[in-house]
Amino acid sequence: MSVRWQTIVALMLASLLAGCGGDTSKARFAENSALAKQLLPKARKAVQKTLDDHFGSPLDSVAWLKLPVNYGKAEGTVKTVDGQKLSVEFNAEASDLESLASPELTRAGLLFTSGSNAGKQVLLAKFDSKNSTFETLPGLESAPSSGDQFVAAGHFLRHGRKLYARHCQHCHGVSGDGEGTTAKYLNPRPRDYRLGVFKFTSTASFPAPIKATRDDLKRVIALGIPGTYMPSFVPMLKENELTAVIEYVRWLAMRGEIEKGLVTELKGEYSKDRSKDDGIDKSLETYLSETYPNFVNEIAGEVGEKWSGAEEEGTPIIPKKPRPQDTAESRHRGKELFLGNKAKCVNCHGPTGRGNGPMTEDFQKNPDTNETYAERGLYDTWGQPIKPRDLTRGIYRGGRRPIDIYRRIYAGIKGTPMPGNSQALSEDEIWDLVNYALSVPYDSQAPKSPKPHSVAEHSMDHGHAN
Amino acid sequence: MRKFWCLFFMFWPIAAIVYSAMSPAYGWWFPGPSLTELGQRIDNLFYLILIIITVVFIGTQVALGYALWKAAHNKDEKSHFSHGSHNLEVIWSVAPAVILLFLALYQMDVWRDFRVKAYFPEGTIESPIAEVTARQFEWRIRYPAPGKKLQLKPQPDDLYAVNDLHAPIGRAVMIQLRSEDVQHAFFLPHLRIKQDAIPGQVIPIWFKAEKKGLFELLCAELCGWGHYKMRAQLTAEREVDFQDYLKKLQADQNYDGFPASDSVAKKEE
Amino acid sequence: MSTAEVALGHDHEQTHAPDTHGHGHHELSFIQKYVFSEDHKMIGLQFLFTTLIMLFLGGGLALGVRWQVAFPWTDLPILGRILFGDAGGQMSPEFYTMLFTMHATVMIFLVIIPILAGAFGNFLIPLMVGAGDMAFPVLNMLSYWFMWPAILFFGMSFYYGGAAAGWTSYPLLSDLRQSAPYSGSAQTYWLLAVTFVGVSSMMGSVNYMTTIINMRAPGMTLFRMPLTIWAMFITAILQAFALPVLTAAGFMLVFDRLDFGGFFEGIHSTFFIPSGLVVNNAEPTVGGGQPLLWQHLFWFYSHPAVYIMLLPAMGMVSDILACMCRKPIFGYKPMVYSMSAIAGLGFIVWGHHMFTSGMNPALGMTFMVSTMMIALPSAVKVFNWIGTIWGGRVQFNTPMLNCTAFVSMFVVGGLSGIFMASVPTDIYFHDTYMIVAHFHYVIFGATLFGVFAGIHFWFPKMFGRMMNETAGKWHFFLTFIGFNGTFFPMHMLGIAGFPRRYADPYLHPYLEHLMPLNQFITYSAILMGFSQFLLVGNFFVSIFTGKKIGRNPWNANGLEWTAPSPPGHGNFDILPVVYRGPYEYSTPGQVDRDFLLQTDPPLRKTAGSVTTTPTSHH
Repeated sequence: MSVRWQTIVALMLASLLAGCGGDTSKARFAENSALAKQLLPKARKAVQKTLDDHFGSPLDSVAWLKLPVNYGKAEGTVKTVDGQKLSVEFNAEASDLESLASPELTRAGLLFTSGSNAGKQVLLAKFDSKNSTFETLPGLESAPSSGDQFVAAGHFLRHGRKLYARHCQHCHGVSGDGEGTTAKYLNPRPRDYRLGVFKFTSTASFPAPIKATRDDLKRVIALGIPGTYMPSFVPMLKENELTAVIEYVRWLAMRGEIEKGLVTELKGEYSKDRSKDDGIDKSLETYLSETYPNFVNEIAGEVGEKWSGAEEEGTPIIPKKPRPQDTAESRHRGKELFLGNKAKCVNCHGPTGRGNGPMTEDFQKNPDTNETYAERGLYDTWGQPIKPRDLTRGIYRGGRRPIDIYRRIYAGIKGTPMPGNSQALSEDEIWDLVNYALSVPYDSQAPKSPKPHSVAEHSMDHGHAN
Repeated sequence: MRKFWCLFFMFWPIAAIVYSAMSPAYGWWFPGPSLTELGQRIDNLFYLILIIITVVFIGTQVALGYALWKAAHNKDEKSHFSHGSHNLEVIWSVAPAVILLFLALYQMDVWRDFRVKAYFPEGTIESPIAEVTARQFEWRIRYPAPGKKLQLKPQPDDLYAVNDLHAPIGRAVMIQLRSEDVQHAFFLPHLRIKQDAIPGQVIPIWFKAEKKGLFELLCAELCGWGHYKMRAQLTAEREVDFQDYLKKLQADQNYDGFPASDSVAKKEE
Repeated sequence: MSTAEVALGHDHEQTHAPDTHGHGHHELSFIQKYVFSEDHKMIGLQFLFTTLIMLFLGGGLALGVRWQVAFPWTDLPILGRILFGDAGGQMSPEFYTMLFTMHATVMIFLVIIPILAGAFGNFLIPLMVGAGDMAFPVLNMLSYWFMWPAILFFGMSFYYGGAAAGWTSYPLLSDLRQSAPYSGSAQTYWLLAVTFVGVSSMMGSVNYMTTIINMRAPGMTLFRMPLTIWAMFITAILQAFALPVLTAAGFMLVFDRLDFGGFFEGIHSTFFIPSGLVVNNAEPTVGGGQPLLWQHLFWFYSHPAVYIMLLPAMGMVSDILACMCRKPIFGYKPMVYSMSAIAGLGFIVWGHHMFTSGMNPALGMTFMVSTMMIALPSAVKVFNWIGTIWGGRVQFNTPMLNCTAFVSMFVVGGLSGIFMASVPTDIYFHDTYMIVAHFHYVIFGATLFGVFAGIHFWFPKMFGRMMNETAGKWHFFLTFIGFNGTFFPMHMLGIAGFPRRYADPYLHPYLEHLMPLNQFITYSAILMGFSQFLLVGNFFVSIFTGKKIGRNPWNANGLEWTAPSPPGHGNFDILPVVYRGPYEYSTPGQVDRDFLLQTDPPLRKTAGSVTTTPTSHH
């Protein structure tokens, strides 16, 4: 072959191989830079390192057993120890042995439940399924001995991540920050999990807001949120897949909350505007080596408790009495309450329930910073403008069952200006309001938007967008 | 080399036919037999057309291959001089025309039975079982309350579901197809049904599922980034199960924190 | 033999022909000669170079599509790191919708249509009819340069993400800015770009029609024109009548979308927008329009467009086959009538793209009949091509191989079309991979192989050198295998109900088992894609180092082969006078060679030999 053709073929091969090799991209958790940028660089790095150590990266997640997350687990006893290598025997009943074979077990956490290292955790580097041998990363003070019992976990979470990457990531973001590639085109924006706040819950908000339960999250994923781009994921996801995704979402939420907690704590003393202060570096170093590790455990404990608290018996709000008959009188009472001063629904939802009450015209203040928002109208905790629900449309984002509407009125919608009314209203009153609200789309008395020209007349087409 | 190229052009149609013949065994074929009578007619038509085009394919490829083969051995002789043949032109114009016209007219009734309202089975037009609204990116379904007729306007006691359409087997049923935003398409591959959902229009679709089961329902018209995500299913079940399902849906929808028996009594007038 | 015949064999004369137009000519500057040239040959080459570059862009986009379907949500090579690094190189679903939209757009509007009409049409028409240049040289130059605003607007579209509503751009996805991520500015720029492409095509078509009607050499009657010219002529008519509808539709859609603000704040047309829809929680639409209207307008152009993308290749293949088989084309007049029938019927079949769209079912019935009938002239042509090869003294060179592939693949594409022409089966196959398989067989398998044949065949005329035959054959071999490996299995995917435009089909259980097949298709596509480097490499290197040849290396009989290679300004150093029709190969009685040029005068009897006097055949 002539030189000319050799060159051409070589160029062809070169271009063919250009796409191969090199570092494949690795998914990374994004830093919550809006918060973290207020810190000194060293403090920022410390926070990131903590998160890396305790949560890992998306492809390489770490099971921090302190958190109330179902990571998937295997239990067993150590047989022999050889440096970092532990040869083990599994308790088959308490272990998901099949999942141990998956490469996702690496870098899971191994928690000792007995022996000299009881209560301590070490990260796994490798698992040799043929010989039932774990290889751990260094990190234990004393070597484990034969007979020590342990729990290894993490693979269920990995399964959740895989599903999350396929189904959820492009809207909710790799870190659950609601900043996926598609997010900026959607109205309303996808949820940012990192505040640990979810809107449509069955739990109370008074005296303190209780976290969403697993069932709440499951309802949202299974039924979708009508009127938004959050679709129903059933039958797409099977039962165990739903559970895996929910665990992963909770894990992301906890990660975000812990990040916020750490940053808030460090911001007090070690914010950026103190960078010129004398001895600030030394002070930070001392803090990081002495006080900080305990604080990390503390905050993890706090966050964990809140989430496990939501799973306790009796947290979902159940009224004491069932819904009364949906009579005209009940609805009338509900309407009076709606327009009246006790509940003040009118202020946001407007006199006919169209979501155009006077609050939507006023300039509101951000409760955290006390600054006035740039645009008129209401805002949610995530800083996005939010409109009160247009009740004439018959679209109920949190569910259309009477119990769902009851819970919205009783406990409000967390993260939004919709307040809980459990203190202001009695149960009977709330039920009357429920009856009224559910009747608004069909109420021929209430004025509606001009009729659409489309063939089908549909109350869903009326009213303002919200 | 000349022979190589002849064989090359003869080999590829053989490979194509072998590959096509083995496809059903590997599952590269219909997702099961059609579960509706109309779908069965569509499948029969498919096989008829398949036979015709296979014959034509083999015929033309053999002719082409033979022509090349002869030519590969014809290195030195002069070409056979011909400007054409009037008779051949007539034959190979009329024959395909007849076949094509036959195909076109033979199947008019299948289309007519599927889409022309006047030919919808009795009882379907008057009582649709559900309104299916396609939206970005799911299927929202609205049933009338048990015992009532579906109205164009939503009624207070209508029942709502998402991504799970139930239908009774053994009788022809109709759904009203709508779109809430952009164009979508209602595609039931196992029943061989497809119909675009046009915003601003309500389009009736009838079908008669012959067998019980869960069948995929998906979108078949580009509707945005989530076009592939609109996974839903048709649950075809016995009439009695279908009615039970509607009752259960009604109970769920009226759930107020207490068991269903208390709630059913509280249906509005 | 008669000594009156002009000996035009291997002739190494390659100097620029003396100007035959008679007007005084100053030397042209570099810009006038090579950039803003009014010479049809230079314009043809400009189109050719531009479209070959665009071929790689379109192919690259397709490989992105294939990667996602074969290896969903994995690290996309090259682009994954750059665009989606934080997500692990995993492309976003809206990016996927952009990939297939722009793949189709680039291939249709920036590759296939310009390469057939713009490159080959421009280069060949004056040469084959015996004219010195096109009827309107300035308009011709503008038709090329109007491609560049189009390319610029497509680039702007990419800047905003790239249009993503499908190349068919159906409202309301393409109409409502809030309905999809790239339905904002990206879609508007896309519409403007398509409008410019349309204008460029319309300018070209006017030129071609006028040149063919008015500027044929003396003796070149309509039925002595080669089929390439007939094809270009009929294509030009198609473009002239169909394009205005697309342009109008494009403007309607642009006005639906634009908000000029100021006095016109909030006011825009609603040709395609019904009222009362709430999309992405924006204000309810106020309208009165009908989304189906766009489909009618769009397909009224786009169906003839597919014949625009086919007929010139059919014409070129006819010419090349006759030459390589040393036989006249079998059934010249039926071929002409067939092409005319295809074009005519092509105007009344557009509804077959809309069978399931919700239009009146009665229309489905009428369009089914006309669509079935349009298969007939195509079938006739296939039989005629086979008849041309039959009994011929075939030269198995690169152009011939590509032409044979054209015929063979076109049979597949045409036959698979019957599943879609038949309305009941189309209910199942619409928007599945059966459609994708069908149109790739006709556009790539048929037309593009025809283009490859044309490139190899007319390259000597364009540059005075031959392309490398070995590279040509390897390119053909690898492309053929890669092409069939890619697209034949797609028929099976269609039968399995595999939908089009799905970023992740395996969410649906009945499609899960099809991933290995899709991976096979992707590997074939990669092979096919990279084989094109052989063609482009061959093309560009041969411009400089190919074997030099004279006027007629193929011993072909068209008028273009009487001009120098490459032809100079004015094309012909000797004004051609046409005595006979095209395809006078292996005329009985000829002894010294097996063809007669169209300019060869009638043979006379000379003492000692009996020759038949061939008259011009149809």
